[in-house]
Amino acid sequence: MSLESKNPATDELLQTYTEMNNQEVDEIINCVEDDFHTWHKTSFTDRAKLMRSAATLLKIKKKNWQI
Amino acid sequence: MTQEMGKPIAGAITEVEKCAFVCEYYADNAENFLAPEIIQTDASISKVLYQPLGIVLAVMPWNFPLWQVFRFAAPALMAGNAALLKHASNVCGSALAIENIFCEAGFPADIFRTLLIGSTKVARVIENPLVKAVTLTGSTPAGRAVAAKAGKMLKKTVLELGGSDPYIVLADADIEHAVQNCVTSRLINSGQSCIAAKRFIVEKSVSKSFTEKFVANMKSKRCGDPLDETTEIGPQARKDLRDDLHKQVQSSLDKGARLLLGGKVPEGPGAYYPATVLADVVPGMPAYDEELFGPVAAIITAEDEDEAIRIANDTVFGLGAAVFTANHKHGEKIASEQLNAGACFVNCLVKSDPRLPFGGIGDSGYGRELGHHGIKEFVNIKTVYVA
Repeated sequence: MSLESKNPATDELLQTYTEMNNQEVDEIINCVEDDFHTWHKTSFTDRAKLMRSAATLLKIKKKNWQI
Repeated sequence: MTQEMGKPIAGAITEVEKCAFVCEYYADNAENFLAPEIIQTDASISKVLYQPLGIVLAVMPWNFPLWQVFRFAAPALMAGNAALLKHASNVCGSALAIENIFCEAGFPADIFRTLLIGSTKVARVIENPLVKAVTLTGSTPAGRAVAAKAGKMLKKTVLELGGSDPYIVLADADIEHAVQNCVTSRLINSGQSCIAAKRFIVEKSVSKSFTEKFVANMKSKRCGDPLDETTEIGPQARKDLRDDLHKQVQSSLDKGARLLLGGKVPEGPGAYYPATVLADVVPGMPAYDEELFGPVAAIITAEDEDEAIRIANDTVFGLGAAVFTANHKHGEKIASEQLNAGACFVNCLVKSDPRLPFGGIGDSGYGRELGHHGIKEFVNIKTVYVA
């Protein structure tokens, strides 16, 4: 099965994505769990610094995001 | 976002700005919201700690492809959780862009990951013992399915579902102001918003005046290319959704509603649907009983204030509601004591704000996002007691 991005203004097919299989999904979940074990021990200060970086990136990208 | 689901570009830029705001809000406040609380008891120490649960699965919709995700992810990550995103199948590009933002910002590479899967595979993800909780924003049927599965697995859920928000216009209201707010709310995201105004309940003595001005205002809105910065109504996100909306309009007309504007599927490419106004809407019509997820307004006339409030509450949903009146105190009393919804506004349109809790009751779901309430949905509220 594939997942499709289609432009609803023109009906144009933008992109097709192959659906992940169960093994790929499980591998991702295991990787996320691995990162959780270190992430939850970080300080609020460190997390906040990264979250502010995400905010800055959003502001920079907002006008020319081709998605 | 604009190319994938048709959101007018001006709204898309505003949406990204709001995402930045919610990131900054939780960066500034998470530590304070989740600070340990010392509570005096007969123990030598008794306190409450807020600790992350682990991996939270987010099942998200296409209508605000970035905002819906960031309003979950910012508090969840700041609380120390990890996130898995299963986005709507038609906005995979937006989903991957969000993943890239967190990666580029310097977050651990796998602390926020996107799963490119269809809805049939969600149940299997919920079953995974590493997934500790689920949040879903979407339709009521989708919410029921996810909640059923999560309930079987005894995993916490937050559900933000549909709405059929009533906007009451009382006889003493500033009609111009009410019309402007009602039309703006109805057309948010080309009408595809859970908290868009959907039912306009107007006191009989001002119904004619409100309706004339409302129709004129709806008619003035520019519908067209979502990449044009002056466009106010873009296409619907998918043709099948546009066709479902049209069926609701047709069925309402067949049952006696009066068409005042729009109501016809335009020829040509795209999933466009025009600004549409229905009057004489009564129970038994889709326009009264169901959510209209598009630029279609249902005007309902009420004999008086009491009947208006009764009609407003005559719904299975309970997300937002608004009342327009010259008497602010009276409006506050109606909002506080008489309207049944998660967010009740006076003399302005219902909107979400990172500083205020957001969520519904009834078929609109449960749990809250945003504010200090939202960040506490996915934490273990742990009691520590030392004798």
